[in-house]
Parts: sequence; C-alpha cells; structure tokens
Amino acid sequence: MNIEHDASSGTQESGDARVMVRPNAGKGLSLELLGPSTARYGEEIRTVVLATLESLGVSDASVLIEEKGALDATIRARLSAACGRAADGGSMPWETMR
Amino acid sequence: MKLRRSMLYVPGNAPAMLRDAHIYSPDSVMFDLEDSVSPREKDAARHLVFQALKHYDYAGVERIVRINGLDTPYGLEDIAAVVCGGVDAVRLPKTDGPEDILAVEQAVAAAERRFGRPTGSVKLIAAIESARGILAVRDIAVASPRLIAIAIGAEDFVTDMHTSRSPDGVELLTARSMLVMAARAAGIMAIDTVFSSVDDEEGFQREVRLAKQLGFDGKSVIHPSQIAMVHAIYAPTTEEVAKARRVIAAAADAEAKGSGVIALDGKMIDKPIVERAMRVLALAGEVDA
Amino acid sequence: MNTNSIGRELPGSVPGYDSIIGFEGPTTRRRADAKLYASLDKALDAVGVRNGMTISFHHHFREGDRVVNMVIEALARRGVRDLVLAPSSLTTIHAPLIERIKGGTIRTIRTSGLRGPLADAISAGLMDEPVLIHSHGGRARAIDAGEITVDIAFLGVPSCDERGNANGSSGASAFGSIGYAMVDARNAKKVVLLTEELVPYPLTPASIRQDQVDAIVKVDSVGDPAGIGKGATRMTRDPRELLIAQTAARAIAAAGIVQDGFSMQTGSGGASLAVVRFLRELMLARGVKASFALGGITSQLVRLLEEGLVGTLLDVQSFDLDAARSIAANPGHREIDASYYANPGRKGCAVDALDVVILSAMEVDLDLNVNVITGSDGIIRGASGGHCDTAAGAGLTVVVEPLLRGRIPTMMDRVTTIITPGESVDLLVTDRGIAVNPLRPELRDTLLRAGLPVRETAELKRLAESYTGVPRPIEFDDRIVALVEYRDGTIIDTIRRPKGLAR
Repeated sequence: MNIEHDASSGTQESGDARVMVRPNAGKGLSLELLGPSTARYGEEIRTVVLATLESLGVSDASVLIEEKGALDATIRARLSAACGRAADGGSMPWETMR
Repeated sequence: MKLRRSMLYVPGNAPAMLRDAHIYSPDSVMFDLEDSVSPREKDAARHLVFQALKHYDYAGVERIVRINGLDTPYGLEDIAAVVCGGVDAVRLPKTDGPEDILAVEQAVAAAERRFGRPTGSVKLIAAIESARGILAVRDIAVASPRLIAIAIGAEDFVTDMHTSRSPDGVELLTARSMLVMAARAAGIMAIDTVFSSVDDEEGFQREVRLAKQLGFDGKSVIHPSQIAMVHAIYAPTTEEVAKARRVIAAAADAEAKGSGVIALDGKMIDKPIVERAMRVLALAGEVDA
Repeated sequence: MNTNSIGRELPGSVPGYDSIIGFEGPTTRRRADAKLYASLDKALDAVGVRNGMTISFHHHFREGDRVVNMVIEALARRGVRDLVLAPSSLTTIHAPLIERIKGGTIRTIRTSGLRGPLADAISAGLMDEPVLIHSHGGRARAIDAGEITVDIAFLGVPSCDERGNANGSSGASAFGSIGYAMVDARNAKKVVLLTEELVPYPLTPASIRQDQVDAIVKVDSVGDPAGIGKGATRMTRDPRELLIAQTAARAIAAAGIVQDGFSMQTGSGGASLAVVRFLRELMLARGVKASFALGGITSQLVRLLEEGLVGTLLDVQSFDLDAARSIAANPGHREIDASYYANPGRKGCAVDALDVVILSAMEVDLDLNVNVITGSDGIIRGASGGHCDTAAGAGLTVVVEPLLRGRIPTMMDRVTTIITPGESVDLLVTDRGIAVNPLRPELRDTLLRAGLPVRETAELKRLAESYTGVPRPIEFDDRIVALVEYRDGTIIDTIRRPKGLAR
C-alpha cells in the first residue's frame, strides 16, 4: 500500500485515538505518539503500529497518533482506516492484517 | 438449543461499546455497520469491528454483524472483513426477496473460501423492512440453509407502509404474524424489532409481551438495560418449568422402554409438545443454550 | 485571717482546702460583640499568630471553599512563616497555596487528600517535608490524642450568632453536616469563625458552640454554592457502572446482609452510589428496613429515610442540598462528628457498627490492597478519606470498580500506594467478576451457590492485561513526597516522586 496523501481517522474521545498519516516517500516510517498512555504503553503501541504498517505493506509513512486511552485493537483499526484513506481506496489485505 | 431472546445492537464506530457489549449477558451481540454509521465513517467502523472480532474475547456470546446491503459501495468489503474477522452470523438489512439472500450467500461463501473458514460456518440473518419483503417472507425464510433467523425492522417498514408506529403496534400486526409464520414453516427463528424509547420501560415490556405472545423467539435491543427485562418476560414460570420437566421425563421413560408412545397423566404427548417442553427448559436455563 | 473585697473575713486555709483565694469583685458581663472583629486581620491580632503554628480548616465547602485561600493569604501578608497546615482535606481550589509554600508561609501539610495543581506540585517535590496523608478517623484520633495540636482552627460557617454558635445548615452557603469541623472546634487552642451572615442569638442547634469560639469575622463569602454541591446527586446512568452496582447488590444480598435492622455506607457517586438503587429494590421486595446509613449522605439516602426504609442517617458530610435541607428538617437525619464517625483511638466509633460498606478504588492488587490516592502516573489526585476506616469497621467491605478505565487496568500485581490493606477488604466487584478475600472461603462458597461470577484476582488481572497489555512500571526517584498514615497512626506506605518530575 502506498501512502499518496494526508488522511486521518478516529477521534480524541476517551478510549479512542486520532491517527494522522502523511506520505513520507523514500524516507521510511516515522511515528509520533502523544497521549496519557504513552508513558506506560509507548513501547507496546509502537510495536503494534509497526506490525500494522507492515501487514498493510506500508513502508514509507509519517504517522501521528493522539490517543486517549485507546486499546491496541482500536489503534490498529484507526491506523488501518487512515492508511486506507491515504492510499485512495482499494481492497484491504484482511488475511494478513494484524 | 441456542437462545436468541436478546440481540444487543452496538454501533460499529464505538470502540468502548464494541469491547464491552457481552458483559451485559445478551444472547447475541450485533455490531452495526449500516444505519448507525455515517457514510464517511463506514470504512473506519469496518476496521473497528474487524479488530474487535479478531482480538476481543466475547465469552461465548454469539457475534453478529449487520452489514451494508450489497447494493451499496460498502457491502462486499463488509463481508470480507467480518468473515475474515471470525463473525458468527451476518445480518442483511432490507431483504426484499430470496435473491437478496442468495447474493449475500454467494459473497459469504467466497469469503469463507478466501479466508480459509469452513464452508457454511458463517450463518445469515435477514432483516425485512418493506412491504415487498414481508410479502416474500415465505420464500426468503427458506432461501438458504445458512439462514438461522428472520427479523422485522419496524421503522423502515412502517415508512414503506405510509404509516407510523403506535404503542399497540396494530400497523405491524400482519407483518409480525407473517414473519413468525414463515419462520415456523422454515424451522428458523423470528426476531422482533427494536424499541427505541429507552426510558419507557413499561412500553418496552408491553411490546416484548406482545412479541412473545405472537411467537417471536426474541427481540433486538439497543440498550443494556433492556436485556434483563426481555429475559424476565421470556422466563417460564415455575409451573411451566415443572410441567416441562415431567414431559421430558415421560419422553425419556418411553425411549428407555423402546416405546414410540409417550404418555403423561393418561394423555398421549406428541412430538411438538416434547419440543415445546425442551424450549421451556432452555429458556429456564436447564438445557444448554 | 484575710478580708476579701466585699468585706468578709476568710481563713488562709481550712482542712481540705490548702489555699483559699478571696473574692475580688463580680465577673463582667461579656458584651454581645466581644468576639466580633471588623476584619480578619483584627481577629488575627486578637488571637495571636506566631510562626510555626498549626492551623486547621474543614473541607465541607468542597470545591467551593474560599476560606483556606483567604486566611493563608492574610497570614502571608503579615509575614507569618513555617505554618503547619492541617485541614481536613484540600481540593483543586487550593492551587494558590503553591505560592504560599514557595514563599515560606507554609512549611508542611497534614491532610486527607490533595487534588489539582497543588497535588501535582507536591508530587513533583514542592515541599521539603513530606505531606502527611491521614484518614478521617486517623485525623480525629491524632487531634483528639494531642498528636496534632491545632493552635488556631479557622472554620467557615454559612451563618452564626454573635457569640459564636454555628452550624452548617442555616444560611445561603449551607452545606449540611459540619462534622469535620466539630473535632477542631473541640480541640483547637483558638477557634476563629468566618461567616457570611450574623443572625440573632441563639443560633440552634449549635454544632459549633459559643464556648469553643474565640473570634468571629464576617466576610463577603465563605464558599461558592456552585462548588459546594448540586441540588441532588445524580445517580449514574452508565450501563457498566449499573452492572457493577447490581452485581454488588446481589453479592451483598447473597451474603445475608439485607435483613431487618441492617446498616450500610455507600459512596457518593458512580457504581458505589448506584448500589443504593438495587439495595432499595431488594429492601422493598423483602419488606426490610435498615437501622441506619452512615457517612457521606446524598439525596438517595435522604429518600430512603423519607420512605421509611432506613431509621436514621448519621451524617458526617452532606454531599448535596437535599441532604443539607434534610439534616435541618428531619429528626431522623443526625449530624455526627469525625471522631464519632471513625476515630479508632477512643471508646468506639460508628464504623464498627456497620454491616456493609461499598467503596470505590483507583487500583486494587492481587492481595486486595486498595489505592484511592495516586493515579496511574504516580501523581497524587485523591484522598484517603474514610476508606480505611470503614473498611476496617464494616462487617462486609465491598470495593467496586470497573476492570478497565480507558487503557488503565484497575487490577495489578501491586498498587502504587496502599491506603486500605487487603485484609480489610472482603469483596472486589468488577464488571467482569467478583474476587473474594481468601480469608473468607465460606463467603466465596455462598456467592458461588448464588450463581455469582466469582474469579481469582489473578484471573481478573490477566483479563485486564489481555486488553491493555502489561504496563511499564512507573519509575520513582528517592524523594518521598508524602507519608501515608493508617488510621491508628502507623505508617502504611510512602508516596515518592515520579521520575522525570523533579523540579
């Protein structure tokens, strides 16, 4: 999946995360993580983000996550949706998605 | 005997509700990708429901997803996501005829093959929400071996009928009756429509009693507080339970004797009575649901 | 023989009376306005303030309190330093104290709770001396036993008469029970009342009595009614909290508590208040009447009293205006002070008579120890309150909490701070099951027989972590910012500064 333009998904409501994905052509992956869970779950969330991007086949992207206590499943969902929007549609590789 | 007294609706775009839906002990949870999700958020809700199905433990509660119709840009991708995610049953909205069932069945079967799920493992529930659909309900109910239940969606139905909902529901009477009859003829379940006024407990209970009396197996609910009320109304009385136990005992007795005739209190008990007794015990929680 | 001033001859002594001091003239009549001072400064002149004194306040105005900030401000202006601040509790409204601490007006604090910017600053190491956190019962014990000697108690009251009789239920800023202040009024060396309204003598009933009061100052405002409390406490409608409350009520009933004459204490919000709704249904169905309800009183408990479902309300803090109105009007609704409520040191207190208490928690661990004071980031944002007091006294102690709050698991290996020891906790009721103290195996069996979802604490913790992942432990540095005192005066835990917060 190629990130073609900026896109976002999710909200800043309690239990949710707002994920913004931007193109980062040729420069690999960058992640900025903000929110109350960062101190204690930052590493775990980072792992989840990288695994999700890998399963989507995204190798170049700039990701900003503003979470408000979102669980991993929610972060995966918001990130996948944002990538889908940033890549201009096409089908999702559900079977490889983690 | 699987109980479907309560089907708890959960909007597909509510992360916390998706996680917690089963803790209120509904018989089924229904994640909605259709009417409760705006067009702009259909993709996001699909992802949330996919992740919930994949990663959350629902403690054995049946998981259903109401997909968007195949006549929308979303339906096919909804089916792919939820079948891959592990859904137990797909609920189609606005079923007007058996051809709608067949189209979804085909898409679900293809998804089962694609994602390595056993063929036939994903069941179907059809919601009928129009006059056409009610008139075709007989054929809809037998359209697929995957179909486990048919449901009525009252809001859209009464709009189609050029009327509105009333407390005693006379405008829904024929539709409800036809739905239950078609379900009985096809050997599947009938599920009644949602009651939206969460604060009107009395009105809700009246409607549940009506649905039960008409023969419905259960009701869609939109708030956890409605679940216990439905279960209480569907709970058999102690007398009914005692009688049912005696019927089952008589049936077991006859079988042990190798007799085809079941007798209780000097009367012959035929098969439908035994089946009813089993349903009563299932509702009382004495037979595994 | 000596002659006294009225001309009578008196011996210097007689058997049994070693020295006889002669009459010197009649006592003077105290003037009505003898204690009234035109300003706080004049009152301070009169009572005398010295560096290093211990001063106290009550927290019945909750988030609407104006007294603490006003008085400390006045003391700072006079150049007073090194005060020991001993209020019954502090809230977010007391943020201005940060500057007073930095400026040296306040040296150290003893309190039940800390919230808001002041708590954040203290967690970050603002004070050289650690704060002492104590429970309501522990504070009463310490003051009563002289471990804390209050030099001046500054007590805000909605109204009082000119000689110093006051209560908390008459006047525009009425808040109901003034139970915390009564301990201070009884024990402090000097008592200064700040009031919005002077009323004709005698104000009755006198929760604070004229013979306890040294000075009275009339001020514009002692509390903001909006911050004090609402008309009626709203019961939660959150389905998860209601599920927890209903499960707790079922467990309490299964434990055999709901019998005629039982007694209870509940929390003031969330699931721990919602239990009242479900207990009430049970009481109505069974025709059971409770003997008393204790503690922080809300409109839900007032309703029980008015319906005849409970005989007496013993009120140490009224949480809403319904309760304030009721305490003034209903003889079954009685004010009690903090010592009567929970002081373990004296000859018995009300919590020991409780059959059941329902408490909330921020964190619970595998041993059922409870934290209600530090958040998941290690920062102080709560209060010890009556938690360990009621837990120790009640026959059945039920802690209610959701298994998760956002991404924060409430079940863990070890809580960040222990306020209430696990031995005092009988049941932990969550939205995913009930954990029973292993010291009560018969209770466990009873709940299982009743069809309730009993789980091990380890199971609950695993379930929580299956959603959240395992949190990285909070790192603290060596700096102790607070000592946590158990109700008997021993230290049960310490609160350290989270790493990275050092100023």
